[in-house]
Amino acid sequence: MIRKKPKKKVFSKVKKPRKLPPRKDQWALLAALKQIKYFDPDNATITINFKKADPWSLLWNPTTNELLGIKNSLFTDVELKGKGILNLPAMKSFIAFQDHPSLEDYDFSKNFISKLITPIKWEFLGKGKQIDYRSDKFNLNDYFLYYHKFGEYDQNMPIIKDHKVSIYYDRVNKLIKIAGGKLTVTERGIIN
Amino acid sequence: MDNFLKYVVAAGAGAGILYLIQQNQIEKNLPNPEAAIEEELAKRISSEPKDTYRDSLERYRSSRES
Repeated sequence: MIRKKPKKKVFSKVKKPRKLPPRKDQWALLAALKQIKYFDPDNATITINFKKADPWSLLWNPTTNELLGIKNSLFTDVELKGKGILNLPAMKSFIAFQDHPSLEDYDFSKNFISKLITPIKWEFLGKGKQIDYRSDKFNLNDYFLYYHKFGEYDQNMPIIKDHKVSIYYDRVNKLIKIAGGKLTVTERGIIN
Repeated sequence: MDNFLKYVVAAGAGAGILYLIQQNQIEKNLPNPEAAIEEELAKRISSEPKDTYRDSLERYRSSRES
């Protein structure tokens, strides 16, 4: 008598698509963060530089209108596929900012919110002066350093026109938030 | 003329290498951004006046008691 071998269960190798985080937690990865300048309470300029060896990124959340500085080691990118992705607010911001649609670049930060220690305690650092970021937003793989000022000022007068953009810091998660005023990201880049 | 060109190229290459070494050194000497921010916040707290409302209240109470 020949015994039949028990049938092996065949598991489907097709992975289920990853569920996206809620919209308020979807971030568009804009550029590499290089420098932040802000005014401390005594109106002195504080400059924070970001090293090449320990890179940080600049993310944008179109739902809450916030820019976020985050260490690259704290999140991973997700390549998005499927219908309706182009209609996501973060994706729209990304396409508007980068100026060159390329499916490989449609990365949002992974749902890093789940890794954060909450509630996040934002400490006010000061009024935003300037951020420098490195991006290939106008030509693919052609990187330039861009400088964005958050207000109008010169060396003698710290703030001529305050655009009400502020910088905050979270000690526990090591995050930098830039928010306030009319901060937004459009085809013209970061605007405030 | 050839020798002159060699000197110019060698000087240029030397200057380039020196520049790269200098940039690398500057990069190495930069503090960590989070450390820099936390140091700045700590300075801010330490420079705040230490005589708080509670201090003045206690001083007032002790003066009343005496």
